[in-house]
Amino acid sequence: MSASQQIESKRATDSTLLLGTLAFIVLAVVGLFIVKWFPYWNKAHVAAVTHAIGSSIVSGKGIAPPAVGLAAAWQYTIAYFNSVWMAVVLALLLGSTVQVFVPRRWLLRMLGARNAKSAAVAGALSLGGMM
Amino acid sequence: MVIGLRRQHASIGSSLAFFLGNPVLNPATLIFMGFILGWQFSAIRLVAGVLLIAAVVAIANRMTPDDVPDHAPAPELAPIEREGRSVGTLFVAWLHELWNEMVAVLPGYAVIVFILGGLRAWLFPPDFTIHAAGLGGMALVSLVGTLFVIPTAGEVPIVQTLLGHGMNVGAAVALIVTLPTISLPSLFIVRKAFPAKVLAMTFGVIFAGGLIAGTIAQLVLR
Repeated sequence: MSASQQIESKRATDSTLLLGTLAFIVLAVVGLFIVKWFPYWNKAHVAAVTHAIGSSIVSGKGIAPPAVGLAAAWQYTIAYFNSVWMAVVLALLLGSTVQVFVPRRWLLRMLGARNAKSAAVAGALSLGGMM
Repeated sequence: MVIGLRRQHASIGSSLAFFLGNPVLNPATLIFMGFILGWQFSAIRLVAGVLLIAAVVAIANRMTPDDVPDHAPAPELAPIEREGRSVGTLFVAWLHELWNEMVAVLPGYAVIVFILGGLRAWLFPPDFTIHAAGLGGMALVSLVGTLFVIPTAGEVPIVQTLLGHGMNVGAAVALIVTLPTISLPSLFIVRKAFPAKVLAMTFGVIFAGGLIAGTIAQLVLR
């Protein structure tokens, strides 16, 4: 293989890696927009106007939770997953996509160090997650 | 997502920052909270959240000095970096990881939510939550807040309802700091991504953070 061919193949590899990473970013941005950012934008307006975003998931309108038992467990499970299922699906998709489609050495450069900077980058990225 | 980051060898500190930052620093929740409970609550939550993450990350990095030596051999490549990859192999690898995550996460997650949901009356007895005050009361509220699981921003209406019935401002702050941050299910989900002692430490720090923030709020607010 000549030097120029080697350079060609190196470039092709890098563009695939870039494409994989881009796919992850697009999935994250589009997914978070649908599941989090857009609904929360609307919810913020509701909160500003009505000073409420629904009743307590623990106890409804009152302060006494339902008696301990299967009925309470079932009702909570439904209410909870009804509220979070889209976020759970997105999180699972993002979790597997980051493992397969994002080059490890790129991720390591950003989040691999055991220092405050790496943690600050991760903390800043987490702001967009709103999970 | 945190599991994926850890499998990709993101450091323990950054993964923890991501794990905790997502719920506790959630800008949307801080905004809802400002409009509904008052901006002083959002401010306390923001400051407490940043301090808690910094504390957990600093302790975790100190606790695991040999986890990733500086000159560790290069980590295994991600599927997209491997030779001979194709659209087919990547898709299979992706489905494989997705399936593994679903099996490892979903059943246990649902069961723990089910159990905690069923025990609500014991975890949040109105007579106790409304009157919780002092170090002991605040500690119990923080413990419940650290264990219990709620959807994103669920703490806002929970605390709104309790405050409306006369809950102590300190106990309210303890709940605001601990309820969203971690829970039994969230610890279960990341159980293999972090050493057990790191998760135990995280639990302790969040619990203590609720206790301290609640106590300070009790003294400062009114």
